[in-house]
Amino acid sequence: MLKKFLSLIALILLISFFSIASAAQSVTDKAGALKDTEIELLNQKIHDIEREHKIKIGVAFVKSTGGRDMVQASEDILYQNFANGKNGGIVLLVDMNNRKYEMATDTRMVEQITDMDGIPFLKDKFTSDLSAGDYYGAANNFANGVDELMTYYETNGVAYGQRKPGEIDPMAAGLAVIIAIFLGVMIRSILIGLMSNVHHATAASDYLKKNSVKIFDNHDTFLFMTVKRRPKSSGRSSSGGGHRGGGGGGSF
Amino acid sequence: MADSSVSYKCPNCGAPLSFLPGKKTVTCEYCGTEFEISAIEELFRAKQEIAVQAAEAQESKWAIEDAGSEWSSDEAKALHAFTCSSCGAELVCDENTMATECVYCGNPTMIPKRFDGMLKPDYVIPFKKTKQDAVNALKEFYKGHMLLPSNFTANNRVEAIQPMYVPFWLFDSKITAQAEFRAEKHHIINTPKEVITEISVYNCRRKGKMSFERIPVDGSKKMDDAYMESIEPFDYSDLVEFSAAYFTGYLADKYDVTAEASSARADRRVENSAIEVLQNSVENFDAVQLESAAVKKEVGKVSYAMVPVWILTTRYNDRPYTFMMNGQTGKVVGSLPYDKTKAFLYPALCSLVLMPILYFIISALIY
Repeated sequence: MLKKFLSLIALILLISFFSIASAAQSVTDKAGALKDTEIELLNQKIHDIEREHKIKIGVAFVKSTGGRDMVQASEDILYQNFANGKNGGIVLLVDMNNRKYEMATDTRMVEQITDMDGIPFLKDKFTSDLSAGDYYGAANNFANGVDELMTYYETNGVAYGQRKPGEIDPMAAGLAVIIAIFLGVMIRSILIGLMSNVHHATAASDYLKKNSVKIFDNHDTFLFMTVKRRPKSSGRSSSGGGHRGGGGGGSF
Repeated sequence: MADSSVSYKCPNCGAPLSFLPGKKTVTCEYCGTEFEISAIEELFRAKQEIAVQAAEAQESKWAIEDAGSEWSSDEAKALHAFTCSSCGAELVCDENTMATECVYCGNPTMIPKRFDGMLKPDYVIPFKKTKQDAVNALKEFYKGHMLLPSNFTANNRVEAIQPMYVPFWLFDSKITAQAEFRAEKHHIINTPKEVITEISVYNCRRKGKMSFERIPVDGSKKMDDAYMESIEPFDYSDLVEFSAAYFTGYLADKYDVTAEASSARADRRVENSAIEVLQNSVENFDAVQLESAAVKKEVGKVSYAMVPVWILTTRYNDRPYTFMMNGQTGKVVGSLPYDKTKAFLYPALCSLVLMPILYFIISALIY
């Protein structure tokens, strides 16, 4: 009986979750986090940003994803409803029960809002608002952040945090100089070392009678085993379509 | 007065005799007569006995004069005078010189008194390389050293070339060695989420016997140990029974480091090689590390041999540079000077070339 009840709840949650997609509104709130006026204001604002940058933006507040993985869930929303922007699409999904959020970008958007610099920039914009319970502020700042990042890309020709073509990366240049100097010092030591072939002999292998070697005690005893585990670099999992977008998330 | 030294002169024409590299006889370079080594030994035995007595007489005189001289007792002990039997000049050499040549007439000379109170060498490896071989080998040695100052080779003149028989102790040993190693086998399992490495640790015990034959250790304080170890190895197939006749025309020193004092160097080398042999028998492991080892010498035999070495000295910027060549194999060893400007410029040039390459590699790895 309980099993049937839980299955029904899960089905309802799933249906309500996918109803977000069918709504195709920029902002959907299935968790009661926003007032109607706030949703209206946000939709208007996002609509303006979408039009200005020719992109699609989605913001979804849900009570729960019904046990689904946040990455998977956010990508499903993105690719079903917000992936048809000329310059790409981005989705912010907030799970209120589990206090988790996830952003997903499509293949075009990930070039303009990168996982390395763009996503952390957006996180800084709204996570404090989420933690403080200001969900309207969070969604508003998320939209502002996307606007800023897109403006940066359109102005500079490269994504926020990326180098402009021909610009020298100071970190890589510094590292290259340090390694080159180190190799230079090594080469110098080797060249100076080659000026002498006078060395003390440490072994007498030249004088070993090869047929005289008899090894008569040869025991290998197993002592113990240790196991080392190294996680593989976690590439972002994508939905079944084989998307290569980006994104990132966290808790609040 | 009897001579205190003996010149090996040709019984046929009276010219100095020399042992020529690569020959098994003593040859007179002037009249071409060849003598068997045993015949020469027999011929000059009586002369050597007389020379010994004469040297003893001279030494006692030296001691009396020494009482009032300005030499310190240590200096006087180290310096010895003798007369050249060819031209009569008074020559001075150090206490270990067994054979030399007169600086005035170039006559090859033995000092038989120096053979007293010491062991007679068991073997000698005769010189195979000539003076010209040594000069050519040194020129060849200069090649391929990028930092060699340009004017070192341009103005280079070998100041002195001396062929010398250096005393060596040859150590034979049979040993029992045992060692414990910590060895690891690595098994890597790739799963979709992680890389799992299973490391199985083993204790490996090895015990064995082995023999080393004729490990050479020089018995001369004058010769740098590192140089003497660097001119190795020697081809013992040329080793022959010792005869003083091989010394004619060459310098020769007697040992001043005993076999006992030299043995530690041979023991250390035997120990390292024995452990290496045992470690090589620890097979099919991914990592092997020595834990403990013990090497016990069961039989240790020592022989005494004279080994041929060419000593070449040159000078650069008022500093002497000494090179040594194995008189048997022709292997040259030595330390060359380096040009400080080149030592800065070449690596700096490499660094400059590497810098943009490294920059692109690092940039590609970061982004």
